Amino acid sequence: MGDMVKIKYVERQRLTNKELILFLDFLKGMRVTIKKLFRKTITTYYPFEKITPPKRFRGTHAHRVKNGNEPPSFKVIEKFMDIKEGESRCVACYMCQQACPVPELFKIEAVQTLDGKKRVVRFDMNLLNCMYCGLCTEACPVDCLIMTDIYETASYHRASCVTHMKDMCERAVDFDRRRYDEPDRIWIDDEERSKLWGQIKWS
Amino acid sequence: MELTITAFWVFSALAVLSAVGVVFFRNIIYAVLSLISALVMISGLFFAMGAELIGALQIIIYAVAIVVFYVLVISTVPEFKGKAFESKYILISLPVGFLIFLELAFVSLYGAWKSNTGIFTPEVISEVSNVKAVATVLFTKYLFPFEVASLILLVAMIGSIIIGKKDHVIDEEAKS
Amino acid sequence: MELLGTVVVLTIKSLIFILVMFLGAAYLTLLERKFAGHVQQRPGPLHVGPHGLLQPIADALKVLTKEDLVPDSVDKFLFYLASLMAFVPAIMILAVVPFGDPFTVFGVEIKPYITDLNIGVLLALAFGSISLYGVIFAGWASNSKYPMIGSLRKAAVLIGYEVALGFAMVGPIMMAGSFSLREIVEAQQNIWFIIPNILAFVVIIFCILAETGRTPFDVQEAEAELVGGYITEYTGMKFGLFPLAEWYIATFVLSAITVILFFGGWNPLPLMGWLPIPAIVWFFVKVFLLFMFFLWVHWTLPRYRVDQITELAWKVMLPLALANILVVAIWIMIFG
Repeated sequence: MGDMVKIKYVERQRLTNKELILFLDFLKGMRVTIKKLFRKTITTYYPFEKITPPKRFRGTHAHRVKNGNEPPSFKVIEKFMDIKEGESRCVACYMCQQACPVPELFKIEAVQTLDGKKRVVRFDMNLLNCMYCGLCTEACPVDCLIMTDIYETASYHRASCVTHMKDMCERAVDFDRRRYDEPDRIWIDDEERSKLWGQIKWS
Repeated sequence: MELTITAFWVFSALAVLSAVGVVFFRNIIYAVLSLISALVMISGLFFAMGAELIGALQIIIYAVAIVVFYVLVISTVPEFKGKAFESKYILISLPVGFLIFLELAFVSLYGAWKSNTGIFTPEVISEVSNVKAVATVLFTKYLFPFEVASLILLVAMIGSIIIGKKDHVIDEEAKS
Repeated sequence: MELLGTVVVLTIKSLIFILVMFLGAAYLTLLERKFAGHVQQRPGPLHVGPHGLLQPIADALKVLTKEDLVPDSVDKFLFYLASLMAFVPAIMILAVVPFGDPFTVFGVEIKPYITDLNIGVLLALAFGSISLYGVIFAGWASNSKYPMIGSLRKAAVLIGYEVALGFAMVGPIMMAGSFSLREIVEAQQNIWFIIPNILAFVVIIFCILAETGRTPFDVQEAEAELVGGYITEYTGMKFGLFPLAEWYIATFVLSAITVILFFGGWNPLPLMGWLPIPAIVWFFVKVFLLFMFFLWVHWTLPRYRVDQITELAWKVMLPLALANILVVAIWIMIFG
């Protein structure tokens, strides 16, 4: 056991006598705090002031609708599905549920219509159990399930925390209308980033 | 004048009550608590008599510095052990306690007559304040006993440091 | 009749002092929270009242209306008593701290102190150290391991620093030739006692930080290790009394004593004596600056280990305080 774990012993840096006597390390720290004391605060006053999260933010889930922007994988399966224009493009493949760490939170049901096509009738997510890891959106083969930038999810009833397919479609339409054309990056733009985090020098 | 008399009765009654508590409380923490109370009340008595220096020193040295070590030791004892009571200690403590009582009674009776004969009458003290009066006596007449006492304390301190010092063997093992 | 008059006047005066101290301590909490916020580049309390000015009142209401839980296996009597024993001595130090010379307003002489004993320094030290019992008994009465560890740590810290504090106070006392805080201030009209006593001042800064449990020495709470230290089992106002006593009242009062001992009390700043500012304002300005200094230290430094703290107390601070006595003695021999 002793040979397997390699431990590197590092000598602790000794303080010089000057530092010991004058408490220079104390003074260094106190210089930092007094400088910060007179800086502007960097907080947002949340209920009155809301920041827009980056596009990749993992907020409440949404369903993209069938609108002609589908990936090729959807075109393949399209003829087997009973999906009208403007409806959720979910194909009920259960990949999201497979990927989810808490699979019980999905309630997906699909039925066979009279002409032999598949129709998704139910897609509920109990967001109280969701940890917003985003694995379901990675798994979605038709780019249907996405996560939006909505982060205010509090509500007065547990029942209203379960989100249904229709709400999710509306949310996705709204989200795409607002942010579909934005470049896929963490900060909205460099100005936004430097406002919050200061100039970052890349090496 | 009336205020000091009232204060005297209040403080002494409370001091006696607390002293009774020290003896009769089964719970050892409560006994220490009443000991603190008794010491603070006695310092109150000193204040009522106009001996503020002795009063303040009584609080600092007796009520805090000394009793704090009792409390530190006792408070690490679990509660059920603090309540334990063994009758065999009474047999030892009764004669010793009686001897101590005799000694204290002699000192207080003797002191009651003797203290009136010193050079520091209340008039002198009100002129030169307590601190100076104590210092004058301490550093002239009683200088030798004072120094001896400090030497004894120093010896005791060094002795306790040596006893309490850890063996270096253990440290070397931990390092290797 | 005269007795009754004295008692009534003293009671009213003490009540005024205590009430003002309570209100002051409440607003010191706001000050600390604002300071802590801005040091970390956040604004602190902001929404209760204009710029968070009513926050202390909201806090007080919250603390007072909290459910007052007493755990089952605590020693009930000591549990209640301990919170008082920590709080009352801290506020009792006020009795000996003078806030200025007597002055007359509308023909009535007002003395901004409760008593002027000629052993004020000693009494302040005594009351300050008595609050140690509140801590120890709180730890013992809680009948729980974290409070016990916390209180023993605090006791170890306090015992060490109380000694250094006492020795550090000797310097100014020697120079003034009196234990009375008022006479010490009067002796500093020409030169502040900080001049030869700089070592004692350093010692006293460390001692106050240790006594009031502020950061480099906050081992008794040490949130990361001990939950809440000896206040773990407390709730409601009993809980509130401990930090109120330690962090605010004790820090404030000890700052006042430090100002009296080293910074000339209510004497004006050098070269600014011509300004039409009353003495009591000078005093509070100095106390405020010193209090801010403690906040500054508190919100900057990380925590010492327990053994490092006691080591610092006995191996550094006590010898420094003794060295200070030597320096002051030489100073007095040379300059009078």
